[in-house]
Parts: sequence; C-alpha cells; structure tokens
Amino acid sequence: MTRNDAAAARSMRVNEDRPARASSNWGRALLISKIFDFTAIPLILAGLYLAFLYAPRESTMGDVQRIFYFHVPFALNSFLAFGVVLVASIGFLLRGKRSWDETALAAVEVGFLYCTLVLLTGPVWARSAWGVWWTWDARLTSTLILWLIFASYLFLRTYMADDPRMRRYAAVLGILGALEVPIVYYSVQWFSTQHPTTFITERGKLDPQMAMVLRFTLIAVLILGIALFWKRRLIGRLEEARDRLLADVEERELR
Amino acid sequence: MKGYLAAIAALVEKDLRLEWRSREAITSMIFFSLLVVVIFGFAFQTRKIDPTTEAPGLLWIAFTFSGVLGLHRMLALERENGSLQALLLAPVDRGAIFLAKVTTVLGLILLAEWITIPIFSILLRVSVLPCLLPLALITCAGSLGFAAVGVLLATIASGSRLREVLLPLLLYPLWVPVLVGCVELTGLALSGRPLKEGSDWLVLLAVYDVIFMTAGTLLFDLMLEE
Amino acid sequence: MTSLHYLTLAYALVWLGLGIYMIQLNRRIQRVHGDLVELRERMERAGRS
Repeated sequence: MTRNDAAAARSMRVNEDRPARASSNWGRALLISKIFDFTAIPLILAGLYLAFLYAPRESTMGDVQRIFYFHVPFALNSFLAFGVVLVASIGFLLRGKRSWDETALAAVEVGFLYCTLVLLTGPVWARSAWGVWWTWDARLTSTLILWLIFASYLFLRTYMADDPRMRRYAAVLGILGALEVPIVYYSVQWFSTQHPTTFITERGKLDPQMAMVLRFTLIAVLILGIALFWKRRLIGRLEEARDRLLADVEERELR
Repeated sequence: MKGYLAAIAALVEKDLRLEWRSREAITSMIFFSLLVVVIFGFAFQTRKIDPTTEAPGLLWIAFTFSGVLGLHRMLALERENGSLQALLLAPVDRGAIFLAKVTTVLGLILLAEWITIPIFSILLRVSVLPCLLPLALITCAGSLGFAAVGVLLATIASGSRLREVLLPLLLYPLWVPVLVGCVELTGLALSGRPLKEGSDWLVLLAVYDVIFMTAGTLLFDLMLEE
Repeated sequence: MTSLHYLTLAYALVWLGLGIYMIQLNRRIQRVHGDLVELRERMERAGRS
C-alpha cells in the first residue's frame, strides 16, 4: 500500500452504493476466473498428450522438436498480449480509471512470462537440433526484443512505484512498445533474410497431423494466458479496492 | 496553424540560443563520440576496419551513446531551470512543445554526428567522401526517430531518481530494430552501393519516424496532465 | 544428452516458469486478502470508537 495510491483513492471518492455493487462485481469476476482456470487445465493436459504422444516424430530433429507445439503458441500469444497492452494503455490515458492500468499491467506480466518461456525453450531446442544455444533467427530475435520491451515496462513500474505519475508514464511506454511490434516484426524478418542463420522458424508445409496439434495447442495456450491474465487483473483490482479502503480507514481513524 | 509553427520556432530558437551560450551539450556530445571512436580504435587493435560489416555498426554505436548523452543534457538543463513547469503554464499547445524539443535535440544530434563522421573516417581509416550525401540522409532519417522516442522517454525518465540508467534502459529496446536498419543502410553507403538496394529499410525508417512523431505529439499532452 | 533429454529439459523449464509465476500470484492473493481483512477490522474499530 503506497501513500500515493491511498491519496489517489481518497481523491476519487465515489458514492455510497459502491459496496453493494462492488460485491456482485467481485463475485462475477471470481466466477469468470474459475471458469477460465477449469477450462485451461484440461485443454493444457490434452495439448500435452497431443504434443508429446500423438504427434508424429520428426525425422531430422527427433523428439526435441515436440517442444515446437508450445514454443510457437507462447510466441504468438505474447504478440497478442501487446495488443491488449495497447488498448488498455490508451484507455487509461483517456479515461483515467485505474482498472485500465491494472489491465495493462496484467497483460504485460503474462506477455513477459510467455516471452520468457519462448526464450527458455528456444535455446534448448536449438542446442539439441543444431548444436548452438542461440541462433539469431527471426522468431527468437523478435521475441528477445519484445522481452526487453516488456522488461523495461516492468522496470519502470518498479522504480517509479512511489511516483503518482508512474501509471501515466507506464501507459505511454506501453503504447510505444505496442506500436513498435510491427516494426520489430519486419525489421527482424529482413535482417534474418540478409544474414541467414539456422532456421527454427519453419516456413511452408507442415504435416497435417502436426498442423492440427499446433492449432490445438495454440488455443490451449491462449486460454491459459487468458486465465492467468484474468487472475492477475483481479488481483490488481483487489489491490485497488484495498487502497481505497485504506484511504477510508485512515480518514476514519483520524477523526 | 501559423501560430503553431511560430510557437515551435520560438521555442526552438530559445533552446538553441541557450545552448549556444554555454555550448555544453554539443561539446560534451562531440567529445564523447571522439572518445568512443578512439576506444574502438584501440579495441580493434588499430587494424583496418571493414567498411561494409564493421564500420557501420561502430559508427552507430558511437551515435547511440552520444545521442543518449544529448538527451540527458537537454533534460538536465530543463530541470535545473525549472523551465518545463514554466512552459506548461504558458498557453502553448503541448504537442508544439514536444515538436520543439525534438527539433532542438535533432539539431544537436545531427551536428554531433556529422562532426563524428570525419573523425571516424580519419581515425579508423574508412573512406566516407564518396558517400556523404547518402550518409546525411541516413543520419537524418534515423536520428529523427531516435529524437522522437528519446524526448518522450527522457521526459518519463527525468521524474525518477534513476534517470541516467532508466533512459537507456527504456530507449534501447525501442531503438534496436531501427538501429539495424540504419546500420544496414550505412553499410550499403560505405561500400558504394546505391541506397535503392536498401529501400525496404528506408521505408522502415520513414514509417518509424512518422509513427513515433505522431504518437509523441499526441501523447506528450496526455502524459503531462497535471 | 539425447533429443528426448533436451525435450524433457525444455518441458521442465516451462513448468518451472509457469510454476514460479503461479506461486507469485498466490502469494499476492494471500497478501491482499490479509490486508483487506485487517482493514475491515480497523474500520470496525474506528467506527466503534
């Protein structure tokens, strides 16, 4: 609980029917969270089965290739996270309600997590299949840059935590980072065609069975991401409520 | 519209006149670039630098570091004089303030870069005379994007105690994809090839500049709401 | 290390990453919950006095 958040909550005093409305909001949010959790778990388990047992074994790289069925969805979904960050950051700058900011932060955290997972699985795969830990191929490189952008956002929020301007500045950074995504995509694409390296990025035909598994895991990873995002956002809103309550309590105690 | 441009011109003139009096930002940027080039010379054991593969990267590293220095100086000066607060009270469009700052910083950065290029050429024995015009174009296009994003991020970072660390930390991830383009284009230029071969990169730079100049003009206002 | 070993390593890293994050989320939930309970008590005490 920072002093500035409590002060901000105090200045945003709302009317008294807030408690009644609020608890039904929480109830609904918690229910939605549970629904996402319970959908995500079986989807992920099914995805694991498909990826590690059902999918055909790749001839040249062997079993390690199976990580592809999660490696690619993590990468694609981190791009999606940026989309959410863009909308939420713009929403925060235009509307000013803290819930937009909490949405942006939740999306950044999940995007950062997914980027980290891509950067952990990629090198392991590369080492097994091509003998090197890192290859400047398009997907790994662009994920690295996105990871750095997410990390800089989190760094800013951590090191300006006590500043009341922090949320607005973070929103600006979020917008800049999101606008950067197509630039990163094309830039890295052209760069890797001019400096060809070992290709993790597959181009062209995929065995139809493999394609089906990939489509499935893409959805599974997406639902997992939404579940994590929703939970994280719920935590953010709870913290916002706590800050408001803190402001109320401090005021009462002073009387 | 005319008033808008006049406001920008006035602000730029004020800042440049202030800078001209002390010349501390531009001299420190130039000296810093010179030192970076010297360090490269020694780090590469003074052997011949390949103009296509090595020189462009080194040149843009020097530009990046001195550019960040320029941004720091510009904002430090403002903080010392409290002039940002004063400007915000004046009836000037915030977008105009942004554009004025970008213009000022861009001017300083380009000047430092164009002075660095001959120093680089002499010390590291890379020929630049045949490609001065393409180099000028590349530095303008690249540095404009750098300045636009840099002014936004420098304003954000200036609020923190860790501003010296925070600015590069926020800037470099957003700068890297464009840096790649600048380096590729500079490689083309230094090896005597026509810039048309890198037209993709030129388009990327142009798009980057447009996106971030527009975003900056709009966001600067929203960012500084008091 | 065979291909399968590398696969297991990659898979383990994914679970490690997800696990760390979910533990962090849980810790945060516990903390907010604790804060809210404490604040409600303080509110009641302040209301009464």
